[in-house]
Amino acid sequence: MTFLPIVSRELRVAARKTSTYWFRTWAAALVLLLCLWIMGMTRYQSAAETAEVLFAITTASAGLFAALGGVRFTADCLSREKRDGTLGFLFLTDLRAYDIVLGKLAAASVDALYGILAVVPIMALPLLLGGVSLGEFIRMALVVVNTLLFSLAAGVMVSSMTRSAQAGSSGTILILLFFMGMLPALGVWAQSHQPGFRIEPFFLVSSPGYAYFQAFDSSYSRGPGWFWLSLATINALGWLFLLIASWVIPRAWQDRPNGTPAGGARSLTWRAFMYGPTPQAVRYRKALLAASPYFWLAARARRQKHLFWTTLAVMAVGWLLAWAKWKSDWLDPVTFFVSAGVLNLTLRAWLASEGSRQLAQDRHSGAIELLLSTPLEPGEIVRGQMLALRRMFLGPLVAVLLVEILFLAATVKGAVFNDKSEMISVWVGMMVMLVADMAALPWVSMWFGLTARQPNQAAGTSLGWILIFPWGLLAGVMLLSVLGPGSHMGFGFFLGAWLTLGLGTDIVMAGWARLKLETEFRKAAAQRFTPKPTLLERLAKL
Amino acid sequence: MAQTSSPTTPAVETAALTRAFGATTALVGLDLVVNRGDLFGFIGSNGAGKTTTLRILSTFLAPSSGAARVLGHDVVSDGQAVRRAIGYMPDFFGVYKDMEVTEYLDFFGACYRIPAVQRDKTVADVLELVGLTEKRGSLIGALSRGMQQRLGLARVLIHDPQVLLLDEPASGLDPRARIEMMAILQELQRMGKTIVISSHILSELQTLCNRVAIIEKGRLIYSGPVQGIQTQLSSGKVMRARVSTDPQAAAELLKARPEVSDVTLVDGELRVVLPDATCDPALVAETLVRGGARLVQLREDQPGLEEIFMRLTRGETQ
Repeated sequence: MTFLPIVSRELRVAARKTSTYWFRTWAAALVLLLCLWIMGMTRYQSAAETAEVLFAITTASAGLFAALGGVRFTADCLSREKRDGTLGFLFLTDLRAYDIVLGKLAAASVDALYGILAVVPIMALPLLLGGVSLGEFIRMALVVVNTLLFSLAAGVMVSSMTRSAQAGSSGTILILLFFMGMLPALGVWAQSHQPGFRIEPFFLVSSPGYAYFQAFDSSYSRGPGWFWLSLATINALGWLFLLIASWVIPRAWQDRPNGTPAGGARSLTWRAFMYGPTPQAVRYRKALLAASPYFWLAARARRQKHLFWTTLAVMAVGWLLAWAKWKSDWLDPVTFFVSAGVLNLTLRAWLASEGSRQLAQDRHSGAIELLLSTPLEPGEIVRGQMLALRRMFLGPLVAVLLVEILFLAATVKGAVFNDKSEMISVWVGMMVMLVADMAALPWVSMWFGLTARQPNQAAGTSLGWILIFPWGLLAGVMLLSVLGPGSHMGFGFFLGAWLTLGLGTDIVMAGWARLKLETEFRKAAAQRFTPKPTLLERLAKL
Repeated sequence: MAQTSSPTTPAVETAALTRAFGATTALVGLDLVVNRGDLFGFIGSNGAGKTTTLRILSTFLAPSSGAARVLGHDVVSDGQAVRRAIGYMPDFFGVYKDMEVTEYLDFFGACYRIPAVQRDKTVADVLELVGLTEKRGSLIGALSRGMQQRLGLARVLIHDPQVLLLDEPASGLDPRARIEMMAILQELQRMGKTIVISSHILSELQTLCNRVAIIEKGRLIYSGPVQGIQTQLSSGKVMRARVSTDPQAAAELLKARPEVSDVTLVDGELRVVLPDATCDPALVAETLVRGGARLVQLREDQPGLEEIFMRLTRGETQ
């Protein structure tokens, strides 16, 4: 009998896919580019200093990639099988729950693992430059691989408990945030009143971030035990997540008898809450259908908007509690800036998710074929989705901007900096970028929602283009400015570059996505029936 | 090149219709005519090109070359008129499982631009037609497969289209649901609708459809009346005879006749092959009676659609 038959099958499947090899190549190429950038930026420093920076940034990037692996690779691995009704077939065989859980983990994580394996040798480059010890490198490699297991296992566990892709991604993000951010923050909260402020390690050992910092020689030499304890805790948590998934999945795969909606009574209660009482729901439906049928389709869960407001309210309450606890210490420019950053990121991420959700689901389920066989034009679908997004996000956007204006005013009032104009410029730039990103994201996320192979990939791809890509360009500009002959670019140049690149990306991406939506909507919607052209075919078409 | 739709214009017409997916050609020069009021069966193996044809007719896919028209409207240049004229039900259609039945139909009614004041009545009418009135408040996810198919049919009918394109509407249904579905389709034909239906259940298409098309490997093999194909394929006659005396002796009597090429005994019944189609089938009765056999039943055996399909096709797909 073969041990873990699904694992071996999934590994064979992965070995046949070209994407497995391309992903590894791209991961290594990206990190190599990052290394070249760092070496360019630090060319006036000593080799040892360069090595330290190189090591810190490459390992942090690999660690971040590993930490987000669960959201990207496993958060929908079992829930998708549940939605498609294929999970039950596996349970009709002699397979055990752990076979299936480990099999799905292997299948979903092979790309991530190969990516990390391709990056680890590059992390060793600083060893050649000096300034980084072999022990430090080995510990860091362990942290990255361990973090990957932790994150992927968290994704598998959440996926075993959910049915929708969105719930899987959100649940995995929440679990990762809990261990990486909320638990350490709780430690800070609990210990802040103690004399000689020191965070209780109990709150930290389960955070991969803590293991990362403990892996550096400077921290490790002060107490090697904490590093190993943290590593073991994170590893144990990963296996615990897998155990939980193995326990849950045999109890969650069966089809429900007719007459029971997905999720049973709990789902009915949730639906009643989201849609509101029947007479109101009918009035709401009639009103929205009159404006645009797709508007109603995308915004039919009336309370979705309230859910977002609730999230913002919870964040506000947390912020106010922290203010009550730390009083004037909390009212700091850094606090304002970080709070604004968190708000902006939440708003953008939620918009990217909502913008792509309905179209991605419709395309995945085949409902888009029905819609496009009606007189409803693609332009009306896009307009309906835009109306739904405006209904949900316009209010929160205005509220966040008002809060940020308050933050800006408070920062200016209590500023100790000499040049307030620079500070004001950064804040205004941040708000302008928020508005521009919020205007571009609906178009971009709709297009990726219509074309992404998996519904939960569309939001990530949209955010990658709108948020991460301009920063990559800015990094390139910074490198060129450093490498340039005797050039020294000041604050104004970088602020201008940041705004130009950010706004430029927004304009180009939104324009491109809009053009695609207007001209290729039907073609893209039918794409799932058409084999994807190979890279060579696409190049030949260009 | 939008044509005006006159009463003589065919309901569906394709000319040299071709559709390629990369290196694979799913349809090769398909020429097809479906007349108004036809209940037209579209038959082919999996991958033969039926679904591709229906997707092109529904304007969801664009043809690579050739033309397709519905009620005279070109599917490429006059897509909006086609979409108003058709009701399309794909083989695999995504229903919004978290919607109620009336919400679903109300939504599609709005997509077809039915005024809000009329929609409630229209929804009630189509629900009654497909027998789902009692389920109007149910969640779609809680309906059985058969009910979901009926709901799909109700959606197709919401805007009272003239042409229905139904891709495997009875797949996955139990016998009762299938029979009910077929009865609804016959009723719709009586109401003057043109129905193009693809199905694998050929015995049902044989009784349901007045015309059929058989397609294989993207090419049309036959298109015309069901009776026509039966006659066309009958090289000679096949008679079925039942006797109350010894059937082996009766078989020997028939084998002695020069007009008979073959006699086999199937389930106590004699299958007699007369290779000459002009041969009078009464000779079978005459031979048996004169030979002393007691004839209790005699009938001519027409080849069924399944048999014809198997004879015409080799099960090849693209």
